[in-house]
Amino acid sequence: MRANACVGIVLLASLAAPAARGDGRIALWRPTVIDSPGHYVVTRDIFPSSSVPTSSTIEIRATDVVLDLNGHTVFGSSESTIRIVATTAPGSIEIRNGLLRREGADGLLYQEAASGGSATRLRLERLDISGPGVRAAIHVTGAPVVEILRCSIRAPNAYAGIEIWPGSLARWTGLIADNRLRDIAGQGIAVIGMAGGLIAHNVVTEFGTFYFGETVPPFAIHVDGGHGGIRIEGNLVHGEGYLPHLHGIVLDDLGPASAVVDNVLSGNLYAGIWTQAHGGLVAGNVVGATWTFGMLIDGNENTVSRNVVESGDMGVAIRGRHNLVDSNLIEGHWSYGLNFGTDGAGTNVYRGNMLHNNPGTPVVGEAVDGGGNLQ
Amino acid sequence: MGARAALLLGLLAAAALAAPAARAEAGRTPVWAKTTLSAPGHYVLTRDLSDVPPVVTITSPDVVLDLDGHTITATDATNAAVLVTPPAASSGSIEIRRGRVRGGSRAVWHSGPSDLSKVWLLLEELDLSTQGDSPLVVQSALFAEVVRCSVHDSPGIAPAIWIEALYQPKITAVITGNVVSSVGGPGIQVDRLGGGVIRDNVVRGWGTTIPSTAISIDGAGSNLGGAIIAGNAVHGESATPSGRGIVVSGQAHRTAVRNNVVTGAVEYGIEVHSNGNGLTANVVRVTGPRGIGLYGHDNLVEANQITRSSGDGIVVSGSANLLEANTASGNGGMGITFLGVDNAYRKNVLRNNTSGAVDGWAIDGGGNIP
Repeated sequence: MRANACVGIVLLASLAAPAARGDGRIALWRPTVIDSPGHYVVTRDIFPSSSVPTSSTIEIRATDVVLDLNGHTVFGSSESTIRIVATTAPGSIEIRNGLLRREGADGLLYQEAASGGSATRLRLERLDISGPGVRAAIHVTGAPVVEILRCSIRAPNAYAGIEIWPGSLARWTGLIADNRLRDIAGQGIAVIGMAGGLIAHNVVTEFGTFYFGETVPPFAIHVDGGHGGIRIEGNLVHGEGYLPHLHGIVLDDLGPASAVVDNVLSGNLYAGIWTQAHGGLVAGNVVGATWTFGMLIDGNENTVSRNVVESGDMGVAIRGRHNLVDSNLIEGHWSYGLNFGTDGAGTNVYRGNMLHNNPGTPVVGEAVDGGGNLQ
Repeated sequence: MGARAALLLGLLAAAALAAPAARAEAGRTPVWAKTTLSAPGHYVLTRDLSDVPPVVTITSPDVVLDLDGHTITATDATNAAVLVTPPAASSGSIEIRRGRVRGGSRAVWHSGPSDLSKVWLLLEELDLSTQGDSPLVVQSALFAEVVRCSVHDSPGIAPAIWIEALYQPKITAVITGNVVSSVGGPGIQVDRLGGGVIRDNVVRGWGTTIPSTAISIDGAGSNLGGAIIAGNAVHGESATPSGRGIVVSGQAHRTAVRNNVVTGAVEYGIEVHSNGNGLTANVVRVTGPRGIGLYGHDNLVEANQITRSSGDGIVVSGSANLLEANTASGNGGMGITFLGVDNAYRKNVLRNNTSGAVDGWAIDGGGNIP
């Protein structure tokens, strides 16, 4: 009888305990350092523990790792909830399908190798990240390729929702698409040093609720120090905050040949689109309901076409040179529709624009009238 | 207790752990009966549910309800099958996804509080139908997202996907990749939209009970708007042309309507009642009496293709609109009829229209081909 009872108990225990799975996947159920390649599956919610020799709840120190959170929640402590310490070995890390509840620091932190640089690609998919930490919900430094897809982020105290730095790589490429960011104290998506990539179909709202100072400008999507070849497409930005310097999409010092297309910028924004890039395309965007500028074009040799702009005070301000402003609908501005600043020295061209109903002045400054403008 | 009994006990305990109700692992709460979800959490339906409505009520924010492919059925129409009623001053998100909901006065109904709600609602990969007034109604949320849902076979006269601010000044919405078919009233309707995207949806066979509109938005008034309606396919199937394809109502200024296809038995293809909108690269081929109608001012209508309507291709009742590089050919009336003032047109192709190329007065900017 004892033997038979024992069989039952063993069978019971085998079902109840998280253990190595028969499909080759490795079960995780407690704070862990992952130091070997493999496919890991979380089998229950994981809380931080002082008994684990790492400050993060899960730490990854290997390449070719898939971490499937399997719908579970990983809770953080005062340190990052999940930390990746990358290596210089080629490979990838993929984390997906679960929730990160952070406390004091980043939700997910990717650090480059101590020797500088990394060859480990990063893919994040279907993560729900929230919590009171001040650092970014997703903070990546030094990954050569970054994909962030269909994640939901709330970071009411953080200086950024998603922040990606090149580290010692100088440049990286990536895909940031279909994410939902809301209730972000600082910036929504901030990418620095991107060289070729797509930022598409994201929703950013309720950002910039706290002003950290000039080092953390409250921009919804901010591309800085880029190298061109970036397409920012189909994003929805809605300014819900009431700080005076909320901007929608900002491209700082970007390299040539990038495109900002088919985005919707609305709500309380100081400027809808502000670009200092050169040789890019700003087309098909809808910019409505901003406080001051619809668009600020500080770069040279850009084409600004087929946008719909109504932004309260000023429509489109062109402060660079040799830009083409073609077939836009710019209406309903109290100060002006189009303003060509003195820096352009008459090198900019505008044609075929519809500039009705600008109670101030339809066109200000010197530029070449290519014909077909309606005022 | 004999040896067999002991073994049986062990096996029963093991079976209990493997049963569907317990299959939802730690951190995910199984749902297997009519219930109210009043605490944040991740809930998973573990079997089909059928009961008097509301079958599932959600009263807490930060809830994920994963139907996991199962079906929730309301056995009468006294309430919604899935009812979402977050409390006042709510903030957080509510997600419902991956399954079917049948019946009820509404299949899914988010009835938000009358204060300034900050709820985000995400509805994803749902299959919805009901004999009640509407399959999906979202009222008084801050943000609503309806993605890859199928809404069908619902004869009610309220919109099949109906997003409205109601107690809020506006609602921001993303409605993408949905299929709406065989519904009694309007297809997709958003009221007081403050920033939104309606993209890549298919609406076919709407208005089977009363003539209505496939896709329509109304705005939130000054300084709250901006929207894109793009890439949608709208096809009318009624016996005679009825209803409208895409309508931008009077308060929805600054909307881009582009790359849509509107075809079939539709009375009016695209109507715009507001100001400062851009209509670009749409294809309109309806059997009704009007392809595109403009009733506001300062709109830009460019590179659209309007053919084979029984009446005029484009009718401009508003003022100060520009029509450029459109093709309005083979229509039963005029290519373009101008009824307002200070409108302009140029570079349009206006051939083979039964009543002529242009009627009324407008500024001819040149390059038109009659």
